[in-house]
Amino acid sequence: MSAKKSDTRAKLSWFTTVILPHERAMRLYLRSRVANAEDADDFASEALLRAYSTKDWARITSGRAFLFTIARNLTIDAARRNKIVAFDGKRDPDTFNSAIDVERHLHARDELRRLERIIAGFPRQCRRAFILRRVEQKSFAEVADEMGLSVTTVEKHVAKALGLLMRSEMLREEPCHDDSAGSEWRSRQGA
Amino acid sequence: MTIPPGANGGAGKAPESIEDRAAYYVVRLDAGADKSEQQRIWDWIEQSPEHAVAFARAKAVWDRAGDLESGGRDEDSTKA
Repeated sequence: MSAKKSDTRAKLSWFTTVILPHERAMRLYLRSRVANAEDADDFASEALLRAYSTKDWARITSGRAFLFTIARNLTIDAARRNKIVAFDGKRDPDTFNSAIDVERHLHARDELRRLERIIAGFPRQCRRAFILRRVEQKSFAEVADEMGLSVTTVEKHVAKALGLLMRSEMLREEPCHDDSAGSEWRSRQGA
Repeated sequence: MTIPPGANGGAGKAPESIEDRAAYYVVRLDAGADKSEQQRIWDWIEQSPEHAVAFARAKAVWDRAGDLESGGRDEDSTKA
């Protein structure tokens, strides 16, 4: 393995464990500061990119403070250039209590429910392939057999589902609108 | 050395966006990409920070979804 490659691996690992757990809270924080949701998503993408591109990344251990500071500075700079409509400065990262609450409640169970709700809304084939592979832990060959599709097609369905899940973080209000799909999911568990 | 944007990296048809491609690569790695395909995926990741961020996000979502409980399938089942 080249030195460059092992460095990339270490950096990706840092980014995944130190930065990404705060992505969602940062998006919510940005939405509280920026009037336009698309602007908020653009800032979020830029903030993640800047976090990843930081030279002395290995020294950064508080991902939340680091990421929120980048996000906040992006909105301040943009507001200064009149590029965006920003809300007043009362909601700085330290007093953004709702984000803190969000983080507190985003642990395992709620996060999984959120994922379930989103997946329930996927196109049928896409949803089924994803659940059979990722939840039921069947091999791609088994999923292909069960669905009567080629392995390649199953892979595409699963990848599409994953792409949709990634996008569900963006441009949306909290997915609390329709819980019927989620409860349908729950009811099958015979709880 | 690296895969030109939009090129077919030997891992099936090239998806359109960086997110889609990252998601596809996570799936290919899960499906058992061989050494040379793994290398092509790493080359892509190292090509730009955008690629790396997208890949990390895709992998994080993939890992989180692995914690979903069985029972959420859309097929009727009487399995307890």
